Amino acid sequence: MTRNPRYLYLLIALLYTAHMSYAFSEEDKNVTITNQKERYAFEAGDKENPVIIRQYSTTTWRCSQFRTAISFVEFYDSRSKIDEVRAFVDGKRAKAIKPVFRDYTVDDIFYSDAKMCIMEVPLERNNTESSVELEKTILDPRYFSAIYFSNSYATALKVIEVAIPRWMKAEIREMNFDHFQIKKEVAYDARRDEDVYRYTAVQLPARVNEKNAPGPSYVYPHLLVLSKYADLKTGRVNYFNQTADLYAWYHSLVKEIGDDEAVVKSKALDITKGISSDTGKINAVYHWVQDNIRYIAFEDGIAGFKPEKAQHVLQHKYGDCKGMANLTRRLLQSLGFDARLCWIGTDHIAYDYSIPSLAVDNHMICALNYKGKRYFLDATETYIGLDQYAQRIQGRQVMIEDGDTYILDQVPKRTWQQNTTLEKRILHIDGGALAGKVQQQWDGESKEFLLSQVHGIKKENLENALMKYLTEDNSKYQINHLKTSDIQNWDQQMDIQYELLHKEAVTGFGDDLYAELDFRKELSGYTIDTAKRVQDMLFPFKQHVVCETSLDIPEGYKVGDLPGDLKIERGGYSFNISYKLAGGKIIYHKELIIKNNWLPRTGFCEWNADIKALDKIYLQQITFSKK
Amino acid sequence: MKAKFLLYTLAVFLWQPYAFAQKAKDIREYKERADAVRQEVWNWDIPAFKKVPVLPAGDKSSAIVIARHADVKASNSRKIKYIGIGFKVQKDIFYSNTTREMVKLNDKAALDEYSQFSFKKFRSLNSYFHSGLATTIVGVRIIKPDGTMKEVNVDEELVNEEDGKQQKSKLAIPDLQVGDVIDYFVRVEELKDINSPIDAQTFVLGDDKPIMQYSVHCEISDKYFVRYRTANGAPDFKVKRDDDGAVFDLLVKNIPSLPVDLWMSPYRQIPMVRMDILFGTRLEEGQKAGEIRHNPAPSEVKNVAAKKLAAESQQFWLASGGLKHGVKDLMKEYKSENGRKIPEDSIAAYIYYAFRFLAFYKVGDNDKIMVGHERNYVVPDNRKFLQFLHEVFRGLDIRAEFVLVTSRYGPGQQELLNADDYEYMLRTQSDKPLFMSADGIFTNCNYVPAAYEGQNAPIVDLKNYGPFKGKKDVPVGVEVKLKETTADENAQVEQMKVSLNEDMQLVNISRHTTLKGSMRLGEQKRLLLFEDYYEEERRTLGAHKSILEQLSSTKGRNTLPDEYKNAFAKARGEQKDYFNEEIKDQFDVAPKELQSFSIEKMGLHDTDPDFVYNTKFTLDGLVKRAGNNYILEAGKLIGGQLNVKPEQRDRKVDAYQPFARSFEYDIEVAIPQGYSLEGADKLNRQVDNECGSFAVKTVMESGKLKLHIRKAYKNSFVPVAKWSNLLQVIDAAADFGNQKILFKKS
Repeated sequence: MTRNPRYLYLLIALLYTAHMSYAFSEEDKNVTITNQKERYAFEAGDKENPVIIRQYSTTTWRCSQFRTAISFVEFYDSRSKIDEVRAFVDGKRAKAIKPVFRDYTVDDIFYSDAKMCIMEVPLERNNTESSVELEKTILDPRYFSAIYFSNSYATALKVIEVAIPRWMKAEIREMNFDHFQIKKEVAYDARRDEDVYRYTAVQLPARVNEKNAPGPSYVYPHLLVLSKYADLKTGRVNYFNQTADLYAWYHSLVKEIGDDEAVVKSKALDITKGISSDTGKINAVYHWVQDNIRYIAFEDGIAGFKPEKAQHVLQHKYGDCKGMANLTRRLLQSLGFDARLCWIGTDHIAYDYSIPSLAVDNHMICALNYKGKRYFLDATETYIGLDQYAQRIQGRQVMIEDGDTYILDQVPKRTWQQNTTLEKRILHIDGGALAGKVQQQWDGESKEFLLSQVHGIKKENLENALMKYLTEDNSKYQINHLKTSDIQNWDQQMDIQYELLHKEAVTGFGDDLYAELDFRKELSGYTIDTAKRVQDMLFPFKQHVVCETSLDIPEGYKVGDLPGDLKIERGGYSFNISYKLAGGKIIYHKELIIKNNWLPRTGFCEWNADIKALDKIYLQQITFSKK
Repeated sequence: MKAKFLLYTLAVFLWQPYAFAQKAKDIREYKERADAVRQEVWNWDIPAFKKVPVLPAGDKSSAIVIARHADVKASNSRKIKYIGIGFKVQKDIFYSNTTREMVKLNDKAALDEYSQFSFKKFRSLNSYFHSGLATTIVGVRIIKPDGTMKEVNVDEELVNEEDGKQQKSKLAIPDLQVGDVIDYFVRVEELKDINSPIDAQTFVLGDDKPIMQYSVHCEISDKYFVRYRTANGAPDFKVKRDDDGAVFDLLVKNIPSLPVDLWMSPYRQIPMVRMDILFGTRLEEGQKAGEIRHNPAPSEVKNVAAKKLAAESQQFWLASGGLKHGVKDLMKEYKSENGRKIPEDSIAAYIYYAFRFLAFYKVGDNDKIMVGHERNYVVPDNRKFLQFLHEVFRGLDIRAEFVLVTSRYGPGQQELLNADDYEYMLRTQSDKPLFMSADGIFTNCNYVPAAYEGQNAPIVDLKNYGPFKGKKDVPVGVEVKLKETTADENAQVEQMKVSLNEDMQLVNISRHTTLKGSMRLGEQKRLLLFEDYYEEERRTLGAHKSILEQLSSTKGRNTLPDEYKNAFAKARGEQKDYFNEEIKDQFDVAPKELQSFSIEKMGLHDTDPDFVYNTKFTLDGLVKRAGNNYILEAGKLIGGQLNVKPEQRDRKVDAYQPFARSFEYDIEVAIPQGYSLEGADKLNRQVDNECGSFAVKTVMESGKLKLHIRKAYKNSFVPVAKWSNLLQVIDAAADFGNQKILFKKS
């Protein structure tokens, strides 16, 4: 099971950075794949691995501009093996090119059993070809779940053949075939008594690597292979015939965990000591796991699907999502609550449990049934409150354990209101400065983002860092008497109050004063380069930014000009800005809402025009004239 | 600092080409050895590790180092009976290095820093010349706030990763929480032949966290020569002799965390002890087994460096033949192309550039095609470059001598330890000597890299040293003081024509940029295209054939010219992105549209050294509407200015700036038709002191506002006593960044 990195959304920083560029290097036109053939054949194996899949593939690259080299990479793990890999350069077998085998390492994952077979193959001159032949064996059909058509290079011709003997019950689902030229043929091979599914795709564009984009299962054409069961000479071997089989397999692993209830209970009592209310206890347990268990990702064979023992996670003070979910469940159960393990695919994955496959989920959380309501607890989200949900799991289908059966439910969806950031400012003009009191509040995922930044900073630098964040590193935005709510308590809104002296925010020319009320200008310059961006844009989470500022009209002055208002209402977002005069004050109100975090490519032009309109308002000033 | 100095024992394992086959027996032996080492280290008789002291309440440090101890042992292997895996093989040197640290973790940032380790248990030290084996042993204990102590079962908690043929072990420290004290050590043990070097030791008495006690203990047998240097006020070792050799001890208490990160030169500012441990006697290198040399005299280090340089030079004579011919051929081509010989006074410079061309620009038929940005960032091997160049000069009867230079970011000139503290330059012996080096692939002749400026540099003349000349003593000549460049010599000079577009939203900027001296280097790398500089350079040198013509002349099946053409086109397509980037870095905002860009002068030669380019683009966000009027953020036209952070203002140490430099802007702002200008007078200002200056002068001329702005950092070194002067200049420039002018509807 592939676990997602915990912090998918550090990119939210983008939202506060003006003029982000979405420039990605132009797709490599020098190298293309002229021909790629992949054949997957189910075969009867041995006692340990009753059914195996033999993979044979040949890939041919061509360079059309200048000589270069390509890196061939094939992944494998404890459930698969590379049998043979051969390189050919300009048609000749290149025995000197040897593969390098190494572990796959990536920053977010502490340990993974995934390994890489890597070969550097030269393309000796332009208009020459090199190819690699691969033979690989997948030892268990459960792990043979998806075959993708696209590559990192544009592919002129791709043929995928899947040979399924009649004794093997497997289904092939065609995903994202629209907009691609893919032909399907099915033939029966009587000699082998097998059905051969042959897919031929032409002119496949290269995969692109863009930030904040949907997961590949939403975008690229692929086949989902659902291995249901095999009727072998030795009898039937069941794989995932239906979702219940998937659950049964997961459940069988969970049953083997071996949690020590006494140890867990003692810890639960310790955590909730002195707390009498149920909700207090639930909050305390959730908070404790979030705060005390470090998230470390492990992907290791069967251990990639089986949670670590609760007492081990307690002892280690670290765990992956499964270990943290299981510990949360056990702690709550030991206090008499009805807590369950849940399997879930985050929004990175396009499927739900109507598909019985390991490709459906990549995460584990804990469900709590309490007084007729179901809560989902994801302790890998360190700074989120109870009943608040991260974008990546909102609305996602969950498979909840229920003894020998399971329950399918959905994590509640949350609107932008969960993530409100509010800034209230009461200001007056003091010489060339704007001065007054400011209150800022953060909730939901905005709060989680802020707290994860704050806790990642060294304690001695905390105040400096917070100042830097609030002042956006502008030395003219001076903050005094800073008061913050308890940063250890994320069950409530994060609240910060301070006195502000924003120097040089007011400029005098002749008898007139010019002032600018918006200091933060969120989303300014956040246009999308439509010439370069290929995929839809995903905001890290739904946003709700509210700013209310009142400014006293200075003595002896009258308001000359006020900037115009802005009202943009779209299905996925809205921008509202207004300036009003009331009781000797100017009231500035701004509300920016990202209602839907998914902005389709078709909406980019409208979005860009709206951002331009927003920027235009941001660049307007208030004028005060002497009476 | 930590990463650099303390955990180097882990970091050095990153690249090792030889595998070590592990067997079950090896693992068992490793475990036995690891247990013994853990027992030894945990039982060290150092009181600071025995009890967690009461720490000052209200301390805001992220982490506090309660105790840090470095233990170094270097002995002859005969003393060693058995130290673990594979070590029974007869080898000659035993070396071990242990760093133990006890750290109180006060926040999650500190917890993150200490929660994972990675290391290689076994590391082969075999190479063509050397043989040996290293093992690494790690021990970890956690002390909870209530005083209970638990040892981590490191061997059971490890996960292993294959990385090519090497195995790396990773450890996630279990049960570690904020508030805990982690007590851990890393021991590296090496057994190897006598020719294998022992790691240079650096004990840095400072970190980004406070250190309550730092101690060092070294036991070094008299088979070794020990040379060490106490620098920047670091205390000396207490040295005791015994039958086997010598014991060195050092104890320092209460070291505060390091103060600032802006404009520091750690080697010259942080107290530290550097130590070399060298096997045996090598008199020619001033090395005598059993001797301890504290703070070697600068003259000694200098003489050893000169000898080393001379010894190295031996290998370049034969190898430089082809290069000599290459340079000679270019000289002939120059003569035939220009109808005259190279003027006598320019020959040395010509040879430098011809050699630079052959070394970095010329491509061979079998080279990887590398014509894009990455080529400009190649870091040359300066020493090899100069040794070869020296041989080429020798072959062409040009007298040149080596200059031993030290970096302002390396150890102080009176605090050198060994020959490696020197870098090399070459200097021609003529009326107007030329200095030469290869700092990058665009380094000009007679350019002294800024880091060497103002340093005293001894001259080494190898004229009587070389093949057929015997190996005489290498004379070290006088020291020259390398000249310090001025703020005018390292300058960025901008001429800008600024106007507003029709709807008064965008600013049109037509910009002419000249970069001088050390200000050029970064932008040359970013903006120059290989195809262009190759062609310009070969023409200047008088080479007949363009790169494509040269490639076409290769016989046989030749697709190279076409391939290069294609690769050039790709690189040229990417150049616009780099100009966009340059503008973004300069103005802190990406251009809305880059309309044109061109390079006027590449600055590749000392005779025409400036890098000059033009850009024409629009910027958004600098004009604000106020009713019928418009405000232009005039201060932003000189780009983002340095803001000294509040915590950096109260500086207690000298400032090492990269070099003296100036920024000069002549900006002409067109007043939009139908508008009048207000507020220009408020832009004028002047600050001038011995550290720097910032001045703005405005004048109206032909209906245009002309601004002349100049900022200068006058010196590369600012003593802390004068820091406030520098702050004054920095603040004045930052203040100007907020200034505005008004276009008022007439």
